[in-house]
Amino acid sequence: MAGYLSGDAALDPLAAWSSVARSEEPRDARALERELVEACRRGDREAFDQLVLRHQRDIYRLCYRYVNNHEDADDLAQEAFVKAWRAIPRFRGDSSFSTWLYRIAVNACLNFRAARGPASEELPGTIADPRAGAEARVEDEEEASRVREAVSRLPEKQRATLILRVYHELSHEEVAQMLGSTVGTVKANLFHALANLRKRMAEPGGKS
Amino acid sequence: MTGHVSEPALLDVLEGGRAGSDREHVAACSACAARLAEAAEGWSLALGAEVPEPPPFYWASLRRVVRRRIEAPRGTRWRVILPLSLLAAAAAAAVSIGPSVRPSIAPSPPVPAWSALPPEDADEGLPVLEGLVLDGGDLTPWDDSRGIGPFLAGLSREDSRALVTALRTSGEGSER
Repeated sequence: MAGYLSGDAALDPLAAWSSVARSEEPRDARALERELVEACRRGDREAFDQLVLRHQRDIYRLCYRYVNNHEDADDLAQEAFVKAWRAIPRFRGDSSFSTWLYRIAVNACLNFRAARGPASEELPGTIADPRAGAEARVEDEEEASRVREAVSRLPEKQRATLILRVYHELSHEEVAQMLGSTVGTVKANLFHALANLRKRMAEPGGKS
Repeated sequence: MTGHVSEPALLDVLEGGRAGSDREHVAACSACAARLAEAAEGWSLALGAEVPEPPPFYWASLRRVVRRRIEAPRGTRWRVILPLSLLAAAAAAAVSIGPSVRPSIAPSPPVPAWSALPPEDADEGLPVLEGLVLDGGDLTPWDDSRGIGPFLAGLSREDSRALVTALRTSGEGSER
């Protein structure tokens, strides 16, 4: 999980405290997380607050990748954490807390998309194409926005697989477990997702 | 060459973990090489698209909302209904009786006793309410004895907007 707390400390007293505490904390991060989870299972809301603090960025970003806007990502992140709190007495620790939390967030995202109806499988044809070319690198926010849009419109399983593997660096096995699939299917879905993303961005209007 | 490399195998090659035979095939097969290059470019594109950073105070706000929600009984709806109606009624009453209870001052250019709130996207009051939310601590139930300040400070963004909508609606009613 990448870089929680970066940039928050100056603006958020709890983040600042937690950042200092962690930098001086010799204990293994996973052990600390297990302690926090155990405390949550005993009903300790402060401990859960610490878990939210640790995972809020990853969960928010995961949700954002699905819905491609802040408001819905915010709603989904809230929903994921609230569901996690309610379900934590049943968390057996078979996987890491973060993997378990990701699964809850992914389910929230999938349910959200199901409730909203399937996203269009096509990129809008009206996106401006001010420059020609097929550069592979995204160099500005405008293009990054088009990539996010293209990702958010990939078929459901392809999108989920790409988000979890490429952006959140979960293993194929973890993704398979999370999506109730096999490793082979996950790999095939990821391959198709990458190829589709590349094709969609290369289409007229899909990439600058 | 009897067949092309499967997608899972190509992905393994892309991630650097596949057996040499598949790598050799890709090196010798232009079709598989092209598929691999396409996927590699897709990966590169994906990595270049960062999620925009939310406002800096967002994280504290997110935790506060989550805390409120887990502390509330299940099924609690956080949209404030009764206080909004009270506030809207109070605002409407203040608008209608305000001029009559104030001492008359020197004549001034005619100004409307009430003017409509601006459109939502131009409403300078919204950021104020949102700022109160960000700085105001936990949402507390409506409590007349504590006054309106703590209540406003505890409103979520959604509730703030609902309040503004209610006030705007009330204002529209008094204008007619």
